[in-house]
Amino acid sequence: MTLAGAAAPARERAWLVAAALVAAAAMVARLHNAFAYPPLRDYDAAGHALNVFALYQGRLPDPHSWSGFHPPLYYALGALLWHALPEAIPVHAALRLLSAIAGFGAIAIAWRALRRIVSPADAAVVAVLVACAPVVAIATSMLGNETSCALFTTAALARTMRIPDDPRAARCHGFMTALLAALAALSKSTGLLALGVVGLAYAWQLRRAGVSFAIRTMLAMSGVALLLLAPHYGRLAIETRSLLGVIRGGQLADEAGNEMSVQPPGERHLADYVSFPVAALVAPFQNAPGMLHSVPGPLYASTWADGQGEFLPTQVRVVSDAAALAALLGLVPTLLAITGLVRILRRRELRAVAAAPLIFGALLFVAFLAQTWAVPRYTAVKASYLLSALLPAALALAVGMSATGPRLRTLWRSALLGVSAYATFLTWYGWWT
Amino acid sequence: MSPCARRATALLGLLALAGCSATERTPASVVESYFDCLAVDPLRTLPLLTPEFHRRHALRAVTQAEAQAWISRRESASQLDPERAEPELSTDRFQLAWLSIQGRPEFARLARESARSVLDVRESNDEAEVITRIEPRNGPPFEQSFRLAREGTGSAWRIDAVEQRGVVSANAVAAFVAYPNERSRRALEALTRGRGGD
Repeated sequence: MTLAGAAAPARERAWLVAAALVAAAAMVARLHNAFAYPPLRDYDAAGHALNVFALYQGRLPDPHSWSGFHPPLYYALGALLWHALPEAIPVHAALRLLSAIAGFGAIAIAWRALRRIVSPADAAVVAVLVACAPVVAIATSMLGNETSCALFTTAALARTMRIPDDPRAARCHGFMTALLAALAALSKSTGLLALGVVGLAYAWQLRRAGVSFAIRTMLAMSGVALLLLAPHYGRLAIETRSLLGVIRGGQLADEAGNEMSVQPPGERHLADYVSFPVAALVAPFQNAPGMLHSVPGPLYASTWADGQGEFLPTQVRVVSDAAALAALLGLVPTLLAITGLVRILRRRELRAVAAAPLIFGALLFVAFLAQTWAVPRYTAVKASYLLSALLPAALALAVGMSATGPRLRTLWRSALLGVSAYATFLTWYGWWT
Repeated sequence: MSPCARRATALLGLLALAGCSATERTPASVVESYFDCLAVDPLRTLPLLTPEFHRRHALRAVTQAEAQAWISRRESASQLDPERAEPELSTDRFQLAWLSIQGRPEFARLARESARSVLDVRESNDEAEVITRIEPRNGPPFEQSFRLAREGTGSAWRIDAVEQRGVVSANAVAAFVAYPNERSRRALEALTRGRGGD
């Protein structure tokens, strides 16, 4: 992260330096984790790895294979790295570094976008917090396509915050944005949602230039996306003979049925969506009391700790205590973000700037809730599924923090940097050994 | 050409060079790579193995529903024809299990604990055999022979099958780590049950 506040007062510059230091520590932690975290312990690691192997061999993953339904961009980049890097670097470590680079790229874009609505120091502190939040720290320490989707989604959504007023300039701007959103959809199907939201944002902006101009622009933008996406999604729809084939593997829909439906905790109930067990704060793991029958609980726990227990050894007492402290500390940014969200919704000028990212965030959240209903299993309640919404989350947090007075703001900045530094320590793999 | 385009061209050139510079491996070096990568760099084991190798190790990843359907079929199948109960699985299910088993931290630790050496290499046309000796930290040494195959002169040698000799209960864990497979896994499971689950 570069220091862009050369003209800022010395105190503001000091915040930028402090944020840069924590960001640098987070980057070093990712580099360490890429090699220290045992191979293929990552979420769905073997499935992702086989997709990379298929592309390494020069063929597309079989759509009927375990994770073959995922779009190929991340895997293609991973296969290139596999060919290019020396054998001394394990392939899984290279794939994790790819995730880390994509994740930090997304955060750098979000930081730049935040500077449009808050001070550079506030933007830097919030960007650092997002980079260090355990959900992001763990996702960027693992191999998988979630972070590359987040990168392109964030890039596309950030562009919707500065669509030119001139219709012709807006049209050119829209092509690039559509390309970025299509790259997001070429990383993970979540990107399709970004593509739709981006299209709507430009249609709304161009409505003043006439309906036919707006429609022509939309068609041209769709053409750009279609050129990139049709080969993958078309093939998937044909091979699996189902539109659902774009979001799940062929095997889970076979005659044997969906494994998720027969595994505990069984059916979801409406109460699961309003229950927030205390365990989410004091024992933030999926096997703690009340967590299996809650959606907000595991969602919170996997944002501010390792709710799934995939990364941290939760059976080690000192680790579970440290994770509980992180979950408690997570209350500060969570409350700030909720305050910021309310403020954005109430203020027209903020709504206008942040509309597309917020709509995307809301739609992704609804899709996430639908998934938790359709797949009534704790593994479906993972905050990393919402990683592509890091820009709207950062916007809410930044607005929440900047709305306070100077003295309180100093407190919040200190608190957020403290939480960031602590989360970086917590997610430094192996600190407990 | 702009500086940006020059940089992109240079990068693509480097990647192409790296992609083409793979040296031809001998059967012994393929086996060495197998041991070097096992549990350390599991993805690099994949190009060393044939699809038949994966079917032979028989470790597989199945969904809960598939496992239940399999159990039902096995219970209803004739005792004389148990193979009919085996599910039809694609190669990726065996590869998934092959990779997943190497993700266990204790697996990597155990893999590092054994010393191995190549005893003999026999090569004939497009088939080869590499015999290795594995000395676990605990337990007696055992032999592991690899059968390799290639599609023709100039194509890569790949491991097609593995056989072990001299495996007893004292080195059964090391043998499983040197060649993870379903038969050894079940034998270890039975052994563990016999010892009271320790």
